[in-house]
Amino acid sequence: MPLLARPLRSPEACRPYPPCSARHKRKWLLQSGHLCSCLAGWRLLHKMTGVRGPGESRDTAMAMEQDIFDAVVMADERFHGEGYQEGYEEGSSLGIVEGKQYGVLHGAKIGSEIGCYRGFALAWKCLLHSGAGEKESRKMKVVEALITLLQDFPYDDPTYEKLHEDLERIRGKFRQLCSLLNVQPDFKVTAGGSGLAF
Amino acid sequence: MKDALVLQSRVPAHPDSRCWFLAWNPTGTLLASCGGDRKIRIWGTEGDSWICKSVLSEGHQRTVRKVAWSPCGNYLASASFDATTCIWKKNQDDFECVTTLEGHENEVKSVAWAPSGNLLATCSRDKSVWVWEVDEEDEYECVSVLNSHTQDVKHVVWHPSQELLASASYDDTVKLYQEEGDDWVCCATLEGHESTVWSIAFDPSGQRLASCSDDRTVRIWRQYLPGNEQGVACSGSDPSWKCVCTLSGFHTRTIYDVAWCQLTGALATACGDDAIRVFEEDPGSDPQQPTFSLTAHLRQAHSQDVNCVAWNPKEAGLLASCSDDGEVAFWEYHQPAGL
Repeated sequence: MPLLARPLRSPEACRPYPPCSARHKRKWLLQSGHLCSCLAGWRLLHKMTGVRGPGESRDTAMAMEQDIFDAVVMADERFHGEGYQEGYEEGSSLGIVEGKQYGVLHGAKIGSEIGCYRGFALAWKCLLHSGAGEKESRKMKVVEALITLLQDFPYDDPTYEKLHEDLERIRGKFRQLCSLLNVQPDFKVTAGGSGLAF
Repeated sequence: MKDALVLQSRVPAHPDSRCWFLAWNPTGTLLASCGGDRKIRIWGTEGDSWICKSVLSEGHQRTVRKVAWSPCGNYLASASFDATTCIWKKNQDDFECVTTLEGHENEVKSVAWAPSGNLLATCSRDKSVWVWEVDEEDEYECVSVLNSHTQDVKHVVWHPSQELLASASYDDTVKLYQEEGDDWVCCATLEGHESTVWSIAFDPSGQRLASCSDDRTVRIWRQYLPGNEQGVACSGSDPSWKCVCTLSGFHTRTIYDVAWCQLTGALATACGDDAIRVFEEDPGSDPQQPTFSLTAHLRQAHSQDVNCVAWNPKEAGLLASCSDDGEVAFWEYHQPAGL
């Protein structure tokens, strides 16, 4: 094969890469030090696939050789594509597992917090019932408001768009109630589910 | 612009500490200052000089960040980093702490009385704004806890005549709240500042709100009622607020406070570059796109960051300022001729 008179730019130097042609890439490989290794690969493929049998015409053989050569030269791109696909699939499945774990943990946290408020509200509803009075009616109103908010909170719809907003309203109502009742709302909802200390 | 602001007096209000905030009583005769020394001082005039009339020292364990007088002038509320708000009752020159409001998880950043005097608002680093109701027996009950901000809430102010509350936050927004049924709800969010909003002030009519920020701008927001002639969209029956003017390029550091004189409409700012500036609306400027001019610029008004500016509510042009240098200064502002 004749060497080209003019040195070619490396295909990587063509920006954007890879739009430079396969033909260009092949030429460059031949001209540069890649020639030997590429030829070795070509010969190997040649042998394996058994192209250019004794009866074939030279033209056909040339075309075949070019195709095979292309397969070798473009191998990196093909493997890059395959690698990407494999990586993508693995990443997706890992992401799903991680997302699920986070969702379970976070969901449990919210559930535990909501449950705690509910228990608190219901207990105070009973306590306030026994002591009627002008002062108590205000507290009762807030207890009832909190219970309504808790009942309206969707437990089984994680895609509910006002989830966070509603949760903040519940937290606000709970803190207002604590202030009215003069109790400290300093409990922590921990991962272990315990640690309530009023 | 020269001599537009003349120093009248300067007092070392909170020596060896920072002076954080100032509040004039409704009659403009007393000025309350608070600071990092956990004390509140009450200033009044005797002859030509400003003297300290009382010191309120027992009450807070940590920095007192803000103070506010009740509209009747008989009560003073103080917000502190110790997570409490104290209510002080005035008996002649003496002040007695009558109530301590607890509930915020950490530093209380600001406190404000509603114009009726029946409601009090507080805000905190815990991201919440609390509305308290006062009954005849001086008892305070929490009527709402608002968790609308996503960050530290820096300041709260009430509309001058309506029960409309505004809050400014580290989340770069200003939020407005009003009562709806049994609860308070956020009815508007003013977005535009690119950094912490440090302070807000309503104009005398309450139709406009000025906000100042860490982004070194002051923004003027205007209220548009549903069905307004200008065609500004409103959602439902709530008015909407639109930024109609941005004062940028005047300040070189964070603007910590903005005060809108209720008598003259002059707008003063307190800035981290140690300067005090006053702006006035240009006569005949379009209400939909008002323009303001810098009418006073006092460099080195204090030796450190200016934290607060406060216009006297009765004496036009009397401005008080305070700073990280612990001092309080009193200034006379003269409106330039031709305005």
